[in-house]
Amino acid sequence: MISIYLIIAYSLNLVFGTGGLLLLCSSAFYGLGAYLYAILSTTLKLPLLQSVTITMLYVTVIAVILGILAVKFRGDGFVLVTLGFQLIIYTVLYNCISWTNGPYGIERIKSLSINGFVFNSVSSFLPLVSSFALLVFFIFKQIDHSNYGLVLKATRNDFVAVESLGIDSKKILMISFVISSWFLSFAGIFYASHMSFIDPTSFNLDESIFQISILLIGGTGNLKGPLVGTIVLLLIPEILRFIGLPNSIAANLRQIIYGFSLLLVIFLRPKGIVGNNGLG
Amino acid sequence: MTLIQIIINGIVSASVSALIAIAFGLLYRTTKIFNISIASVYLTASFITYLLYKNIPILSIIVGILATCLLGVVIEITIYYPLTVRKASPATLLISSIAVNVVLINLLALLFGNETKLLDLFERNSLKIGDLIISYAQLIQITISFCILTTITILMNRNKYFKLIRALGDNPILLKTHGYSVIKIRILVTLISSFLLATASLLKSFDIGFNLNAGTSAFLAGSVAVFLGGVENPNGWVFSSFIISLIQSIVVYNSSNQWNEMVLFITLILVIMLKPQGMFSFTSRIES
Repeated sequence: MISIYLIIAYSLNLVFGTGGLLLLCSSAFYGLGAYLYAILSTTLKLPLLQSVTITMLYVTVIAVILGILAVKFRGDGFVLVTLGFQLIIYTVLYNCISWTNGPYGIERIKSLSINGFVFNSVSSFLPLVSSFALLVFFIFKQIDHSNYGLVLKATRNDFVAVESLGIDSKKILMISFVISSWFLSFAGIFYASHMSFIDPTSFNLDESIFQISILLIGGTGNLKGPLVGTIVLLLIPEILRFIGLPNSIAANLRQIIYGFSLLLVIFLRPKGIVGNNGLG
Repeated sequence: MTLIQIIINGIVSASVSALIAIAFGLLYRTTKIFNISIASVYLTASFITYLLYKNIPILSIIVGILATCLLGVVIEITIYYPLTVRKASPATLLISSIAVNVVLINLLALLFGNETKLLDLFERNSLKIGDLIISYAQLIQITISFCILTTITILMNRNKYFKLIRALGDNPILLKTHGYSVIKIRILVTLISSFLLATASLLKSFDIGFNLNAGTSAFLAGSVAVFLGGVENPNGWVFSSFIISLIQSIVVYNSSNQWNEMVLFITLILVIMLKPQGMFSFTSRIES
């Protein structure tokens, strides 16, 4: 799970950390990836390559349409549009029962396989997803140091100055939005194939808030922050399990700890544990 | 169900949504915080009243409203105001409101559980006029909401303190130079918003009950109405609440309640595509 969440954290880091846009629909793209892959590979029984390709095509189209609408705004308007998209996707996943099986979810999802080798055990899946997370790390490192990465950072800091140089800042933000949505969907595909069961509750607004909390607590704008945030936030449930709290209390308590951690970070370390960019 | 019944249901629902929209709009315009924590503040009123109403029915309503106002003020003084003084960015303020909301909602879940609760404060009965059915709860909702909406509208235009609230939204530094205390006006606006949220919460909970999701739905309805109506236009917040509620009643009648929030956001997206400054905001040329 740490590897899957690392992919999510690095994807969000591009839009939020580097681009400065607070995205509240990350779990919608994560869910779209998971559901599209599950429907295509399991319900429609398409081969892996086709399932993944069609999933990515759908996600690209949706991300472009949403991006065109959302990047018109900066700040609260962007947040509201992405929040709306998150709720629309959740409503569709929950209520389009003929495709998604609604609250009952989709089960027995096909595991990923390459050349007949099926990644259906932890020992085979872990190297696959870890390698992909590492690949994602290097891709984002390249983006971070590229001209595009510099322009994206400049757009975050002063979009008027960027526009005055003749650069279309909306286009720059759109590209980061689409790239992030691809990797978020890839994380969804890994999640669906690994868990072999998905239901809409894994892709709700709380999950989006959790995913953005990873970045906020770890820190944004560099490549260490997402790693630290992922490890810290994924270890909290394990610690609670170790203490031996009942599941019903542990779930709420975990959320309360996330909330307090966020407030503490905002007041004590506005840049996150190892972040470069201040929030305030 | 006739068309008139659908319209009446829509108007009843809108009257409560308009209270939430004013609560969100006043806070947003004054403090510039996209305040998601109003969801949990809204819920607090119903939960506190629910805790007490069997022993002290009428007093529980007052305690519920007072506790909500107190909570709102405590959050303002301990979190939002100190962050604003430190010149926190809008993103930081938004994230802090998300954090406050996460903590409060989960505290409420731990204390009261997740299931839907009913608030039987008054006798449940309904009025029949021909084919039309209007429940007492709906009558109470519409009467109280319209009284508050009228009072607020009059106060916004005539009262000194409401004008100060407006001035704080326009230019806090100028207000300070005139010798007014920013924190006092912020507390005042928080009190008014918390009162509106508490009233809306109790009215809605008395009619259809409440659960932990009710706060988020209320926040969404309020914030979308403010953005649709135009942030600078309080009348627009109320009008857009009515338009959204009517559209939602028609959709709910033709399909199901499940698509409610989807309708809300599709309306929002369509409107901001066509008119990003809101339905009822009219930008004029500076020289006119």
